[in-house]
Amino acid sequence: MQKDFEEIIKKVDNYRIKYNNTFRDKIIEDMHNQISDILTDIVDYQETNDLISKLEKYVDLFLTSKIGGIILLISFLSIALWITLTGAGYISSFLSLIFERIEVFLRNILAVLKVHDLLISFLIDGVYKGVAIVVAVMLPPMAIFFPLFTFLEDLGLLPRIALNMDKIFKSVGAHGNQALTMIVGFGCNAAGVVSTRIIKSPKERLIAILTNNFMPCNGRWPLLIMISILFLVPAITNSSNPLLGSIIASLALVSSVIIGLGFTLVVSLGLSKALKSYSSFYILEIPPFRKPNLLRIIYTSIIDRTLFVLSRAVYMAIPAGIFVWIINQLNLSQTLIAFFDPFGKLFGLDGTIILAYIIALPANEIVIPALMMLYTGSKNFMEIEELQSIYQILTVYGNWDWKTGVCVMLFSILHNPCSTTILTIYRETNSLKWTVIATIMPLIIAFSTLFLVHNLVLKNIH
Amino acid sequence: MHTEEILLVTALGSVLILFLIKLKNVMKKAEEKLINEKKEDILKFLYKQLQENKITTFSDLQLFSNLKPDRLIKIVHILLREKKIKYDNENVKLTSEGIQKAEKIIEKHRKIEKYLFENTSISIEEIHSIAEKEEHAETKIPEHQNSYECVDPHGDVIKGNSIPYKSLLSVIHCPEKIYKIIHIEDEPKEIYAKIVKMDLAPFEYIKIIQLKDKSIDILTNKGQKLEIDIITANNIFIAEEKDENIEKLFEEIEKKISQISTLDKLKIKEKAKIIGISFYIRGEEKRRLLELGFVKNSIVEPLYNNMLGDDPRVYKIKNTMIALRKEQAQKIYVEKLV
Amino acid sequence: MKKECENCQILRNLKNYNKVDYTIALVGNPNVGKSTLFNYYTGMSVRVGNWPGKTVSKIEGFFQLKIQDKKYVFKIIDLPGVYSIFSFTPEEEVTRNFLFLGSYDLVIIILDATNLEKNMILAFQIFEITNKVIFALNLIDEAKRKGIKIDIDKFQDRFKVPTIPIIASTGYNADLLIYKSLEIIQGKIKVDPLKYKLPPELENIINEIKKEILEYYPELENYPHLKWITLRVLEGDKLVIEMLRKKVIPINKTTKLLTT
Ligand SMILES: Nc1nc2c(ncn2[C@@H]2O[C@H](COP(=O)(O)OP(=O)(O)OP(=O)(O)O)[C@@H](O)[C@H]2O)c(=O)[nH]1
Ligand SMILES: [Mg+2]
Repeated sequence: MQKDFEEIIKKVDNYRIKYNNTFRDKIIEDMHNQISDILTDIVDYQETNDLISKLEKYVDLFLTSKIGGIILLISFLSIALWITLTGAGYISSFLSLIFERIEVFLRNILAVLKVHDLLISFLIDGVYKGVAIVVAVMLPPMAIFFPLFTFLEDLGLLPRIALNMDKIFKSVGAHGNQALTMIVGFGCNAAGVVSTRIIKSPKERLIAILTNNFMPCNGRWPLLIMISILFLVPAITNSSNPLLGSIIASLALVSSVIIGLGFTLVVSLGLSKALKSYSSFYILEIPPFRKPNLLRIIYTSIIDRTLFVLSRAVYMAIPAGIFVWIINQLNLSQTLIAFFDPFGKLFGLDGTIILAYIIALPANEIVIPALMMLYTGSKNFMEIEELQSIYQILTVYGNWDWKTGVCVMLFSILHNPCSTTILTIYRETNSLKWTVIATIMPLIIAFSTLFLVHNLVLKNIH
Repeated sequence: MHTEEILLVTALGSVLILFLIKLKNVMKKAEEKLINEKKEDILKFLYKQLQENKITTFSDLQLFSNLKPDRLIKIVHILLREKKIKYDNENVKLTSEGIQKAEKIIEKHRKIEKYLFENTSISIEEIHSIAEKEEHAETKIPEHQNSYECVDPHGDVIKGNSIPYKSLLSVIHCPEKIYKIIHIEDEPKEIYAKIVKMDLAPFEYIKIIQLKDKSIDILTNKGQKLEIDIITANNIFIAEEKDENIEKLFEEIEKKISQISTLDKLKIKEKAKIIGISFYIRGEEKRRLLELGFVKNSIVEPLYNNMLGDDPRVYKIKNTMIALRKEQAQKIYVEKLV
Repeated sequence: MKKECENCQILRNLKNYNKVDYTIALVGNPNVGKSTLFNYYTGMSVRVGNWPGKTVSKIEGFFQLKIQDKKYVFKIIDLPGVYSIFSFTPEEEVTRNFLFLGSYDLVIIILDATNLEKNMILAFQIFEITNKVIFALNLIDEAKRKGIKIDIDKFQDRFKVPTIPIIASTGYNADLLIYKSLEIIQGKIKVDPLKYKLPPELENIINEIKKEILEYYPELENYPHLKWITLRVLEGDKLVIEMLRKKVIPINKTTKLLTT
């Protein structure tokens, strides 16, 4: 007769109960102890004269001290941002130049091939230009930021930052590693979302994914800087002292980061209350310092991060380019602007700004060119170098004042993630529900904040 | 009347009727759900009475269920018809079918509790009330995913019954005796929270040191000395355990009691040997800690704090650096090395 | 640009699985250099970095190596780093399912020489599933720098597993590792690793349950990992219990039933 399987299970259950349901724990414990015994006379720890090994201990002590921790964090942030923002400008304009040449070249070829004019316009003005502008603006900051970040990662510095920041994140129910994902988010939110993999507990990881968007990414910095310089500085001071001006502009930027941080923390707190059905724990391994391998860093940061993000961006830019092209072909933009205008006015924005943000769904970088295009009624994205001309366009066509500036800045920090990020969130969470929430939640937060700020605060200031 | 008006009235009327039917359906469903819940609660109650060898009258049921008499009668009728209960001189009794059903419900309750304990971050005091709700429904909470579990977080055996146990309060004399905690009652919440905070858990051993008027002094197998008031003691259930190894363990612990502490209380660079980790470090977190070497007899040493203070702190274990938060370190028991 | 295996011929687009001579898997704790070694052999650029848990899924690559005038094509598999294979996290599940249900000729267990103690837990667990193992003692440069001395001969003797010290980031001894692996695969070296000794009372229980399982599922008579399976049942591993209940344990590794 065959044995009944349920009987075996029952017997097993009885044993497990007798042994307090801790077979697994016991075995692990026992293994550890046996291994310790076996290894006692095999492994030998000796004092070394190696300078680095000795230094390491002090470095760790320094980095986790008050002063050291702050120096580490601030120097890391400021150097990373400074290099990225200044360096990126040069590469960006260089790339634009190249893309223009290619455009001329492509047009010629298509003309020789006797392709229909409308199709040429579709391919070049729609598809090609959409992609070119996204690549030209997105690639350079990433190409600088990511190697820098990877370098520090390889060195083993990042977990130390996470350790230092944990207390803040713990108070809102999140994981210290979220600090790292937020720093990556400065570079690019899509990459930030991918980097949440370093958070191993499901609840904290989800929190980090859903809030990463509140860190202004590279694509949003130019807009924030531009508005600070053009609208906030004159609104606060009349003096034309350039030093004072740049101090105010920097303060405005720092405030935007702080606003983003504030929203991150508040939303994290809310989410940690709402996500109780996910398990949560904190265990952070601090790896030893290791010598970074420079060549590999460049390689992995370009392949792993930059190209990865860029390919998704291009993928999303094509439909957007086509969308802009269609709008322009059908002369729809004015209709759409008029349609969105009353809605935008509720929040201190206008129809053009809303439409610009819709067009800029694939990449935040194209908000300014889209605004210029829409305000001037041009058929193409406009990249204007000179701040004064931008100022002219915004104030003359758009009727902007510093209040509009504040509203746009707030919207830029809080609004929905770009489509590349949305796609990435979907890949990472594998859940439509969380993707939708990650998209809608920031929008609701952005609009309600703007509504309050615009109607309760700004309207009362004269 | 015009035809249009007639049409409109008929249309509106039919919409109204449809709506009423729908409403009735919804209400009927809600009623059914309620009755089902109450039915299951009554079965559970009867089962408990049976285990405690108490008899149950109809008025006991009424007192317990807090239902209007006509509702209760309806439910009892249903249960009688389903042959889950029977009358036996005024007393309500479970039939064997009823017992089976009650056991099924209790099993489900425990499974849900175990799942919530291992796989979520819901606080342990809330687990019971959530399970109480979920046990009736076609629950969305999956059964414990990767493993078969046989005991719930209160020490109860999921399928079947635990070994007989008694309340800690019922210990009248003979201190110095060693008991094993078998079960911890999870209601009322406040007392349960207190027990959790003292880190008393199923499967741990305790030694009675002294019985006082209003409290009991005990020593745990992790070297904690605790004073338990009688209300709390009444919710802790124990059984005697005669095991040489355990006796030896307690002897050892008593010898080195002054060195025993928790991980968070160690000073930087103060080496210690781990005694054990708390039952209330749950699920994945516990497995991780064990795998990383936070097991009995491992040597651990706090290395440094972080920029903002000593939470979290970095510890060295098995030549690796691991950062743990304060609450975690509080639940790891160590013996300082001298 | 990157460190690549000089003697190996890297096969980037090998889709033809028939050509593969041997399959080798890289298993080890997180952050011990599995992916670094993988990249070295295959010339691929799997994610590497200095924090635990970068690799999250199974990655395959191919390379060819000439050994004594004969060319061999190896398939090499990079697995996520795990501390144990009790299969609770997704990473553990990937690694456990591969070791238990996948087909391979050898497992290279990569150890971190700077904290061997932590690493051996996993090794013990792998020994329960398979005998086809070799140790790669990685990061010996770091260990040396930190003054950690490991008596490799003694280590080999105790665990009864061939051990090659390597430096994955420079490729030091990486070829030797493959030569040695080949000898094991071809049966020139017999490996019978030191098994974890259960406490006596557990041993008795295991034997009892083992007998019962055999009565229920006699086909497991000569199955080498019966003990492991029994242990898993005692620990309450749902997958193993279900497979037993349905009698679908892959006895000769040809039945690939469940690969999640
Ligand atoms: N000095 C030195 N560094 C090494 C060596 N091998 C690997 N590394 C470094 O160790 C780190 C981790 O290597 P990975 O290959 O990513 O580790 P992994 O085992 O794949 O890690 P997971 O995928 O997270 O499980 C990297 O920074 C490597 O450069 C070595 O032999 N010597
Ligand atoms: Mg890897």
